[in-house]
Amino acid sequence: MEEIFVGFMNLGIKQIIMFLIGGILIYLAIEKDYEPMLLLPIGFSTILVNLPLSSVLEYEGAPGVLRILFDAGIATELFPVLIFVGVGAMIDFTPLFVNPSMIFFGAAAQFGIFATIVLCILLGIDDLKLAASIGIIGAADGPTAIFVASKFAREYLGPITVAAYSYMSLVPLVQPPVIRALTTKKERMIRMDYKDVKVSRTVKILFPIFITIISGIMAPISVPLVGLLMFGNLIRECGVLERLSKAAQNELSNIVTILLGITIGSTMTADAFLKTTTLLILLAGLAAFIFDTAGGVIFVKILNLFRKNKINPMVGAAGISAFPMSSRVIQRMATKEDPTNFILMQAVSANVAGQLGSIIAGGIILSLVPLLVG
Amino acid sequence: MFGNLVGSSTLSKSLFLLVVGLAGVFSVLILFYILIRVLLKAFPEKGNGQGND
Repeated sequence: MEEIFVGFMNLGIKQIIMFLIGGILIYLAIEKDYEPMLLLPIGFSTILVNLPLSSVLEYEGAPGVLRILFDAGIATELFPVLIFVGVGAMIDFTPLFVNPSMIFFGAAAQFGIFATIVLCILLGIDDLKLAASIGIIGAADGPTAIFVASKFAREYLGPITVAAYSYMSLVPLVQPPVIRALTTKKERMIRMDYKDVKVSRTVKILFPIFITIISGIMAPISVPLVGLLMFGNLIRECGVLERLSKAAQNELSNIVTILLGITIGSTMTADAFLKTTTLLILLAGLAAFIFDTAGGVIFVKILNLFRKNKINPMVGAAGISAFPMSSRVIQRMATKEDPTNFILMQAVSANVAGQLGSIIAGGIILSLVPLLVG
Repeated sequence: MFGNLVGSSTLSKSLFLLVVGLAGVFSVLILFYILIRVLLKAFPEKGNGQGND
């Protein structure tokens, strides 16, 4: 008789809390449309791994299905790296070629990553690898956050991923108050000229190849990140691999996203998740997005001190990697101040630069932190 | 350079990471900027005007 109720007998309050957390993630995915492709599988997997005596992680001493997926796809970093092929195939760098100087905003808006690392240390995390894994939430780039966290803080992969994707979808709520606090109405109304420039196919083909070589030489550890992103982009731009480009954008991305989500959720066991560090990760992740936005805006304001043709400081905030949400938010704010002001293309250029900047920042962290930790 | 820092406090290391990391991102993106400029100059699309930079 006892065997029938063995599940009930092993059910604790922690498991019930995790069911609620899984349910909240599923609710946010379905009802609020917050990054549903990742949050829904993570939410469901959270329920799966917290079921009493669940066999998805381990069964009679042998690894269960989610453990096998974890060992094959996360421990080896295969899943996040494959996602980069798909992301690369989706990125169109043309807006950046049209406004090359916007690339610097993609660098300035990575301030949040590094500032958050310092913040984490000040808040008592005495582990630079964990602090770096939390700071990388500010990359506003899910796969980069997963890649870095899977190397430096695998036990916190779940909360870091949830924070990264949740705040990415909350960009329309997080960025506007920060931008408004740092700019005047006059600054938000600054107009910027835009001329459409056609970019040759040769440039689009050579760009990913040269970027891979430069990044590979400067930060060899970033090659899996940058290299496969640029491989995906080359497939897209070469013009002779349309089928593969579409496969990378759709089939590959979709399959890996399903596996990635459900596997990351498998790290959300009650013992691993219900810690004060998890709360800190969620709070510091929000701080990272705020610092990113502030970094981009303040950088443009400093530039404007020396420029005749002023740049709208809001464009600096689009230098984060959350594409295309951030550029849309900036345009919406510009339209609110002046319905005839159109800065979307400049914001998109900065946003595309942010996608490059976040990956480079991830590569630099992967290179520097092990040297500093010793 | 890193030898001296390995024994220092975690806060010092994080501040070093802030300065060097951000400088590193800017340095790499400056290289990318130069690359884009060179590529656009070397392989212009026929019938283009000038960009707005």
